[in-house]
Amino acid sequence: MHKLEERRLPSFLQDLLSALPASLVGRVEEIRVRLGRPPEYIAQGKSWFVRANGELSTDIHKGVAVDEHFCRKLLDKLTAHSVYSFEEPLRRGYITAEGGHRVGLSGQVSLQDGTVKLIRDVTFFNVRLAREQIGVTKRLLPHLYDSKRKCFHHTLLVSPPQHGKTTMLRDLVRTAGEGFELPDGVLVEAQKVAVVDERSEIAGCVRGVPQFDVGWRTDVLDQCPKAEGMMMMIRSMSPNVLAVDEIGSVADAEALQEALLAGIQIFATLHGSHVHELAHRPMLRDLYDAQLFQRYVMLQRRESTHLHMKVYDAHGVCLATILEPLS
Amino acid sequence: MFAACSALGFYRAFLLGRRVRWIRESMHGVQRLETEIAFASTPLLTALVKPVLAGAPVSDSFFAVLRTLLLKQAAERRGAGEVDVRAVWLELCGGRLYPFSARREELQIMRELGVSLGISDRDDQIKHLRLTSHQLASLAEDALVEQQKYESMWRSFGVLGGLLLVILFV
Repeated sequence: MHKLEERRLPSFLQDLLSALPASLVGRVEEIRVRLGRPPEYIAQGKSWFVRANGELSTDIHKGVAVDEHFCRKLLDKLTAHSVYSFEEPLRRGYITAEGGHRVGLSGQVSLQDGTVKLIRDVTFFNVRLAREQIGVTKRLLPHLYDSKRKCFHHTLLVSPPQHGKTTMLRDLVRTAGEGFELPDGVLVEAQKVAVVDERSEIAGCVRGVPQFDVGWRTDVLDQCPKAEGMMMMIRSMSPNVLAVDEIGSVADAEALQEALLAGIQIFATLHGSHVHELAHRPMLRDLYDAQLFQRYVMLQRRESTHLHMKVYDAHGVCLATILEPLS
Repeated sequence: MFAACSALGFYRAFLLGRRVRWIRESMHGVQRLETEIAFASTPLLTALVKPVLAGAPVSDSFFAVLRTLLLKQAAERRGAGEVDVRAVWLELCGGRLYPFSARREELQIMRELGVSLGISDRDDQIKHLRLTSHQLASLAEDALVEQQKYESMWRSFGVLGGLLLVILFV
């Protein structure tokens, strides 16, 4: 639908990107702001810093450091001058900005009864820019769609952070919600897709309206806890496909198990370094042993220009290896 | 000359009453803002542009003028995300827009609130808003005493002063 440069960016992001040349703006994946140190712009695995004269440098010592006022202003813009209305995100440690860009926060925490109440003095920011890669799953689809049963396989996308799980999931959701053509010419009709978007990263909703292309037949439940949201969507929206990002807790795994057995096809993502390690993770061991997921897709970036995808079946046997260039 | 002096006296008397009303309206606005923040966690801009906070439709109260300025800035810029609520609030506290009805004391109280508004958690915000509300209440009492004390005096002073000038010139 839209590339980063074409979408309307939140004002805090415009400020951060204004220092960069246009050639780099389109490639920036992450911006790290640290009090007393220069902002770090990460693009295709390389770090860049802006010098006093506006030129870019890869040497951190040549960058211009940000001061307390800059950090305060950044938080101010992020929270729309209303820190009190972001207490829960500040407790969790991240804010999802308009457009689905996730901003991780760190600094000094304030405790209440021994638990984190919120991050009081935010002095570290990690802005992860959300991007669309339309069609990135095209070559993956024949492995994830069961032509005989005419439905998708339950699929779990696994990768370490920053390897494109959410981007991949977003494109899978879009494809499922729009319909597609398999290489053998078979047309797959658009499915009813339900997305539980706890962190507003898949659809990037603003006041309930998706900012990313998630397909015609896709319904989104925004900022709802996954475990609760999955059950809500199953009951209320009768989906064919249910998509969730970053399964992380026992409650998520239990809700997922319920959904897997409810006759709905599942797309989910998980932080991990290898498919086989799932068998050793207490949270997912049952799902793995029961072979409830029929496909596992392991993602890995190669030389920051290609995405390496390995498709495994329910037994952990590798079915295909795909190398997809990143735009 | 008589009419001019009388009008001046009446105007000074009117300003005393207007100040009391201004402080009370600001106090009510602060209390409504507290409700918005305490019970709904409404973002500052959304809360401040609500008509209920501004009070009467035609009013020169702090929150009514603030609402107008915020809406104007949102329209001029590209949307609500671009509005700098704190800057507008502090500019309003500069007193440029209130040369008569508000004095430095009340504007200073609103300024102190503006500096701390939106930068901390809900509990802290409520404390700041309550403190401002108490300060404005105490100021409203003083302003009322002043009004009762000097309102009729200014009226009489205007009329008598005018008469005196007329007599002197005649």
